[in-house]
Amino acid sequence: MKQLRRSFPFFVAPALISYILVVIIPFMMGIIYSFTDWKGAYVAEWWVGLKNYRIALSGAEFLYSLKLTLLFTISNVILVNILAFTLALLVTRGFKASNLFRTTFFLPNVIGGLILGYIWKFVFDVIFDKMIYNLTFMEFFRYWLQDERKAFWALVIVATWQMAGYMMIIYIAAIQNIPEELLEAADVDGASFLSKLVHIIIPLVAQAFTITIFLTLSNSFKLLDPNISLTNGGPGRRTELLALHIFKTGQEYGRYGLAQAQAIIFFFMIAVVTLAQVYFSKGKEIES
Amino acid sequence: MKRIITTFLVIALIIISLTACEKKPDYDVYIWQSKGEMADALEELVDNYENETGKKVKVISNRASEDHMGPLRAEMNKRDMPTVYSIQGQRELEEWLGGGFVADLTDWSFADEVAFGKGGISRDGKLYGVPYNIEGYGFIYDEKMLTELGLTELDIKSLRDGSFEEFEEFVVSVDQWINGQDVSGKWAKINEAKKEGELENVDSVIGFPGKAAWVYGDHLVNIPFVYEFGTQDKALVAETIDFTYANQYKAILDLQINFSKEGFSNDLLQNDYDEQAKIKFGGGEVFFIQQGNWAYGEINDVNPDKAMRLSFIPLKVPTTAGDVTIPENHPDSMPVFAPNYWAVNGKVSSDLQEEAKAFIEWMYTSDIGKDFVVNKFNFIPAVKGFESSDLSSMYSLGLSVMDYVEREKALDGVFMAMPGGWSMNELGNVLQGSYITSGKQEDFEAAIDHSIQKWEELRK
Amino acid sequence: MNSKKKKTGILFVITAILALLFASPLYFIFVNSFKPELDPDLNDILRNTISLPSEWSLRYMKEGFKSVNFSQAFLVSLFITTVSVVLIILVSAMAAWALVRVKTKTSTMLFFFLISSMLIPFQSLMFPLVKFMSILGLDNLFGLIIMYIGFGVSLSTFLFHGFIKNIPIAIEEAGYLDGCNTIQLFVLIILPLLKPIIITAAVLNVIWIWNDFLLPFLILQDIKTIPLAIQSLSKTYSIRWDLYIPVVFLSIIPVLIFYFLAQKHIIKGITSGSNK
Repeated sequence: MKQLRRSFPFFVAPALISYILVVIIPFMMGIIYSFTDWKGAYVAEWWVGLKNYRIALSGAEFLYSLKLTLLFTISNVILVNILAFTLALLVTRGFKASNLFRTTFFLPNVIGGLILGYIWKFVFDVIFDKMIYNLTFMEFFRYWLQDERKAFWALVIVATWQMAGYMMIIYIAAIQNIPEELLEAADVDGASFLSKLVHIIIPLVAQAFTITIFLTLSNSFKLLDPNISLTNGGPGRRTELLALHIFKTGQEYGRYGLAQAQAIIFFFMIAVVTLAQVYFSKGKEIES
Repeated sequence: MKRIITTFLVIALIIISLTACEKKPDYDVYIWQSKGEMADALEELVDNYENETGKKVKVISNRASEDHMGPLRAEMNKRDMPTVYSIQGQRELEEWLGGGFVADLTDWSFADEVAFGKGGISRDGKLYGVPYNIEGYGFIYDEKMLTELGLTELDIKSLRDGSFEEFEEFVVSVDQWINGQDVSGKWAKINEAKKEGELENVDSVIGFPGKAAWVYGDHLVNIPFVYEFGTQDKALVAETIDFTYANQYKAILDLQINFSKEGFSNDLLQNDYDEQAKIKFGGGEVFFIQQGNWAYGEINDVNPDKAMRLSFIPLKVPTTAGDVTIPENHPDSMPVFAPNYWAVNGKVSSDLQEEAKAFIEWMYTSDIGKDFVVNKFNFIPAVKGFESSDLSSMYSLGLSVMDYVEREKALDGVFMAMPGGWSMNELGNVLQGSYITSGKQEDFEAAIDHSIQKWEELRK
Repeated sequence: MNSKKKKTGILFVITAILALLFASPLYFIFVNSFKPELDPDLNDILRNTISLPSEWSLRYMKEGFKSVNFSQAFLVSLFITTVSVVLIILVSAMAAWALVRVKTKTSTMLFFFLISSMLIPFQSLMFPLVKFMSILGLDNLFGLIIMYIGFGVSLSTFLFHGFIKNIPIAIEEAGYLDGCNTIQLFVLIILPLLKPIIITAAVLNVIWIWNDFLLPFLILQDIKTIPLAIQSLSKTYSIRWDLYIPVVFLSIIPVLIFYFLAQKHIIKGITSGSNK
């Protein structure tokens, strides 16, 4: 492969250069900026030490957004995966319309996050709040986007709607990889569905769990577009997830240095969680 | 290895040459302004200027009606930055000053023509911007509605110049009339009024937009702080606030909510600015809305006849509330401020700066420019040299604002010097999330405490 | 036998109900895009929200289309997405091939370096990115495409890398013997072999870039992509549902068409991409 060795730089350069220009350099810049009082259009003070980090870690809003995002992520991971797994089980039953169902469940994922939020905004503000309420007069349907707690769950619903189909596909692939013979043998033994589930299906799908939990975890933690379109952090700032908070700290408040510090903290959290999760699941996989 | 190094060097050279190239911009003036509503008209005006002078003008207007600082900061990061841009008040001025983006306009002859607010926006005695226009806000009312209710011109004047308590008394009476109760006391004569004509659709006294936190966050909060600070300069340097007149603020806030159709409830949050201006006021459902002269556009869209009869009654607060007293209360005055100033970029070449100034001056002094300013931008001009002929087609609310300015009943718009995002996010939104729907005293106090604390944090 | 059939039947019904629930928001958007005359209280939308339009009118769709300059937004989105995706694939395939075939420590290091970006959240570099791109003069449409390449190479290189490993090197060696140089070899032999994974990568990238909001929001000034157009609509018309919904519907149509055409590949892409 001598020839390829010679043109190796040529082939790798475009990818490498664009990656360095677009990701690595700005990231390094971001780290530097986090130690300054950056105002966006200029730098007011080139070294403020750890001041931004201190403000970030003690700031009430940041901590609130952090807490909210953690709650949101946990809710999503649980709901999305239960729903996705259930859907996967249902869709692999062998119905005639299975393909149609699979298509429908996956559809929300193809629609962008921003538009998703707008669609559900209509559902919550008009269909729930005006139409259904006017028919049933059940308080339950009112103010999904104006009431702090309901708005949180509205966001969870939108995120779940978006992600469930994607995870379902992964589960389907894993389920379809289970050797038919195992299941048939279990049927012959007279096993109930529940025991088949617990003893055969779940263990063999374990590897898929690694992936889906990882994906739901990181996607939920970083969620932004639906947050913007559905509530834009409202009411007040009570549904401002971390990604949106960081964005607003810079864009609306003009405190870009602070936003950078927050973003670096954000990066560390994601990196730690991701690596830890991969490490532990790889361990589990090897065992099984 | 050698190949890799060579490739990287080549790329590096390309990048450096891209950055080092000193290209002269292909325009004489580059305007970046934040009023989306005037975008189209401004482009038309610019075409006129280009035809008349042969200069090339680039114009970008921020069409998303949200905070303009984000996109503007991005533009300032570019090599070809705007030469003329908008500044909204002292706080933004401070940010741009810190980076050297504002040119000193003190010696500019045109600046002497500015009739409002000491010539424009200034710091330490230096002038940095000239006002686009002036704006004012208060309680908008339809004169015909009040006359049909039985009020005379003197009555209206007394409400205008009178105290908070007198206005409150009137509001209570009207509320009674709406509910079919008998009105006694000073306003007993409105008992005779019938629910027809302009009063046909009335269902409440005041229209309150719970969803538009900026109305009670940014604008209403100006009133108590005008008395705490007096001018924008003081507001700018204040590291902490006492919110001395929180009770007064609550009084005028409560008045509006208590006498709105929804009252303190979740329903209140359904009303945004459009609903308030177009449906509640334009549709004749309420007597008063707290808004500014800009609302004329919305009201005119719905009911042009009504739009011609509009005027302002100032937002008032009680002199004494709780045990706090305002030394010098001005219940007869309304906040008038220049929301936007034209600033010239101090970082561009002096040639470009001169071109920028020439354009601005032309906009407010030439015949075409003046016509656009009054009729197409719908500005209330802050500049001398506008004769009554120029102003003949000024709209109702504009004339009302100018009236207050002429009578010297204008208060300063101190909210423009408050920390970025404070009034909207730390007060308006907080109230929106709790007090606006509950009406509970502890919610109000919590919001005030929160805002006081946040001011201090934001000023660190 | 009968109870099994019954069980299947019940499960079928459950699945069908879930599917209907899943699709219902889209139904509402569809149905309300065609409603005719709407008075200020939007009665037709509000009163008959779930029913089919009393008459099928394109009025608000046309108005909505014009109000956000949809045709321009569509072309902008189309241009950005197509060009970016083509370049991402080209660039990633090139890099992946070289990294697989040249087995040195450098190439392994570079490979891990490239795919490490999945750890870095966009938030931590979005503001400096804008600043840096301004310095380079790349804060425009052209630069936006370069940015998508920079962000997109990680996943795509990873996909190509895994696939190329399974191509027998004999094919390439034959090519060399026939007198091909590396570029010819790449274009004429390797790329065609990569077709399945190219489609997968293309599909995944299209979904991401077409729907992307934040990056164009920070970079583009006077032109808009479809997500930007919708977002600006929601600001200027504080919820004018009558325009809002048809525009939302219009925005989904290209996505839906794409989805139905490329469904198979999307699903393959997810399953292969998940084998990390």
